[in-house]
Amino acid sequence: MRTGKSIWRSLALAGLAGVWIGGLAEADIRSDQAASILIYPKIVTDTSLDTVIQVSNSSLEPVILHCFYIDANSHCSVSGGVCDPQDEQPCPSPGDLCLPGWVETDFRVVLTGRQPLAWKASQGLADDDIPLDGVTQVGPTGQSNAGTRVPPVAEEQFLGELKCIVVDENENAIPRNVVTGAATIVDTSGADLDVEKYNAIGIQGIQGDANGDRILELGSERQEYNGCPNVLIVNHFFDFAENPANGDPVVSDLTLVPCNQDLLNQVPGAGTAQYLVFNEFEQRLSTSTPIQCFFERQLSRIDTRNPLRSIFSVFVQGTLVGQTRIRGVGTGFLGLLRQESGQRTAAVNVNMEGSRAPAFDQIVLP
Amino acid sequence: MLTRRRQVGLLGLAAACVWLAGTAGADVRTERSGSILVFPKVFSDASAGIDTIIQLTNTSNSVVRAHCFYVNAGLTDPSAPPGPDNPRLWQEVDFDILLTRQQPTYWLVSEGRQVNPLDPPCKPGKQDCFNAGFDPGRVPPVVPNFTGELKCIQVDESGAPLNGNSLKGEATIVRDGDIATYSALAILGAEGGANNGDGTLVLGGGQCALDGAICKSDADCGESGPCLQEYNACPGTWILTHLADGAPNPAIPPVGSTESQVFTELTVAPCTEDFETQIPTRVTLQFQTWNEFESQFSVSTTVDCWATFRLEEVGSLALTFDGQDDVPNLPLGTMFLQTRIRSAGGTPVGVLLVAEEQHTDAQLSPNTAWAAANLHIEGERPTPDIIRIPGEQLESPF
Repeated sequence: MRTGKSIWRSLALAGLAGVWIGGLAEADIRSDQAASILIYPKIVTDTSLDTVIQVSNSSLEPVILHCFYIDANSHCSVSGGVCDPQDEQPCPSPGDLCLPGWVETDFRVVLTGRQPLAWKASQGLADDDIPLDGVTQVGPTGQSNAGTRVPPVAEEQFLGELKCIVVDENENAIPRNVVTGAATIVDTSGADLDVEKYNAIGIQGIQGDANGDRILELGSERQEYNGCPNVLIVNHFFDFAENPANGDPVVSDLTLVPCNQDLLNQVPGAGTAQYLVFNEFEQRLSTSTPIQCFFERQLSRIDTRNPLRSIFSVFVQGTLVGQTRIRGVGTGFLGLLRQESGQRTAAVNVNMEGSRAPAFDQIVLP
Repeated sequence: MLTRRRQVGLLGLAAACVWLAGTAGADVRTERSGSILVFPKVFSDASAGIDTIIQLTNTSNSVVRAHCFYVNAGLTDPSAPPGPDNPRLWQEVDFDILLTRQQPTYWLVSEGRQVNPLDPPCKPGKQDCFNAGFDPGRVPPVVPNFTGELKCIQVDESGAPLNGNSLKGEATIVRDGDIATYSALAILGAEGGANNGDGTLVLGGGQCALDGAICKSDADCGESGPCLQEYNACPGTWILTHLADGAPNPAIPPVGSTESQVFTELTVAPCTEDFETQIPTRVTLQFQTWNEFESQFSVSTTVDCWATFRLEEVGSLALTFDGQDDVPNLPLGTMFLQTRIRSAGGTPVGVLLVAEEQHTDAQLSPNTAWAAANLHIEGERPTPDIIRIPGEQLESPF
C-alpha cells in the first residue's frame, strides 16, 4: 500500500503535470467522433477491387454534404494508361513517361435525420438507388435525399481520396459536427476473399467558413475548423517480419493525404513527411519523403528502392515491431495504415498527436 | 512524513492546478494515447486457429510503466450457451510491463512474453526473430480457449495509477490466415486532473481531496473538496454504421442467385470493474436503429460481465436483413443501418465496444474474411464509472 507521504507527493506532482498538460494544444481531428468534414484517405477500385463507402448522419436534422473525389492516378504520357511512378505498374515503353495526376470530381449528398447511406465507389448512387428520392418516397417527417447523386469514380482503376464537407443550402461550409463515415475495401481477386475497413477521419468545425471566403482554415486563429495533427503515430510490424501467430510474412502500406488542398485552382497539397522510426531496442532511425497530392507506398519502399535495405525492414531494424512518428512540413498530413499478412489485409486508423499551431492548413473550395 | 504545513501547501497547489486546468471530458479515444488502454476483444483458441497479437507502444519520451489485467470471460461450461446457469468466469490475471521511451512492443496472447535478453535479433535470413528487443516484462500466456479483455493502466514507479496519457495499442485477431485489427480504446487521464494514485480509478469524475469520496465535480465534495478529477468519462452513446445482419456485401458479386453475407459481431466490456471483489458487472444495453428510409426501431439486451454476439442475436428482426420486411411499422427494409447503443437509464455503468464484420462470399466453398472496426462515440456518461484494483496489486514491482 502507498504511504501518506507518497500520496501527497503524487498529488502535488499530478497537479503540476496538470498545468503542463492543460497548457498543451490538442489535435482534435478524430476518426471516432462525428465531424463537419470527412476524409476517406483511400478509395480504390479495379476489376475485382471495390470500396463500399458508408456515411451517416448522427443528428435528427437533415444535413447536406459537398463531396469531392480526388483521382490521384498517374498516367502514361503517350499511351494514357494508369501507371505507378514507383515502377510497380510501369508504362509500356521507355519514352512513355508516368506523370502524376490530380483531378477532382464533386457531387452532393443529402442525408435525412439519423440516416445511413452507402454506395460502391465503382457505381455511385443513381436515382433508382436513392432511398428517399423526395418524389415517390419521403421520410416520416417529410425529409428526403432529393438533390443527391453520387457519380462512379472517374476511372475503372481508381486510386484516390474522398472528402465530404457539411454545407448549408447556399453551399457555405458550416460547423455541424454530425457526420460519421467508414470505408470497406473488398478484394475478390485472390483465392481468398479479403476485406478491410477503416473509419473516415473527421475534422470538427468550430465556426465553419463564417467569413464566406470559401477557404476553410484548419487550425488557424480564425477558429474555422480544428487543426491537423502535428504528428501521426503508427504502430506496425517491420516489413518482412513473420506474423507470430501463423508465420506469414507481413508488409504494410502507408497512405498519406495532405491537409492543404486547393480544389478551386486544382493545386494539390504538397509538403514533406518526416519519419522517426523506433524499434523495440529504443533505437531511432529517420527518413523523409516529399509528398504531393496523395501518397501510398509500402513502408519498406519509402526510403529506398531496395526494400530489404530499408529502415522499415525487419532485417535492418532487428525487431518485429516498430513505432513510426510522421510529422508534416509545409502541410499537415492525415493517414491510414494497411497491414498485409500473407494474402490477407487489415486497415487501421493511425493515432494523431498535437497541433500544428501556429501553422495551419487550408482547403480552398471551388 | 511530510509536515502538516507542507501537506496543506501541496494540496492547495494541486487543487489550484485542477481548478485552473479543467475537468474530465468524454474522451475515450481510438486514435490518441491514453492512461488506460482497453482491448475489449481478445481471443485465443488453438483448435480453431485463432490467436490475438497485442501491440503496445509508449508514445512519450519518458519510461512508462503499466499494470495490465487479462479478464477471462469464458463460460463456465464452454460447450453450453451463456445463461444464469452458465455464467462467465470473470477471472483476472494481472502483470506489469515497462516500456522505455517511445518503445513499441508486442506479444502473442497464447504465448505471452518471457524476459530473455538473449532473444536473437532479426537479420537477413532470420525474420522469425520473435521477442527480440527490450522485453517489457513477464507477460503470462492466456489460458487455452481464452475469450475476454485486456486492460492496461499506466502507473508510476511506485505502482500508483498515473495520468500520463502515454499508451497506445492495437489488437490483431488472427484466424488461420485472416487478420482483423482494431485500435485499443484509450481512456485519457482527465485534462489537468490530479489522480490520487489509489486503487479506485474514477472515470468521468474523481475523488474528494480530504475524504476520498467519489465525486463528479467540486460541488459533490463540499468542504471535503476539491474533487480531484482522475479519468475522462466513458462515452454516453456508441454509433455503429453497419449492414443488417445477413445482408449481402454490395462489392462481392453474387454467384447465380446466391448472395454474399455480412454479419456484425459486437463485443461489450463494462467500464466499471471491481477487481477486488471479482463481482462481474451487469448492464442493460439499449439499441436504437435507423435504416435508409429513416425508419426507427429499438431493442435492448442485458450483458453480464462481458459479451460478444452477432447483432442478429440481440433478438430484433429489424437488425437482420431477412427480417427487415417483417417488422411491424417498418415500411421498407434496407441493407445499411445506423445503430446507436447506450446503457439503459437505470443501469449505472457504461460500456466499451468494438465491432467485427464477418464477410462470406457466395462461392460453392465459401470464403470468409473478417474486418474489425472501432465505433464512433458521442457524449459522456452522466455518472462516473469505477475500476477498483486491490491495494497489494499496486505495490511497486519496478
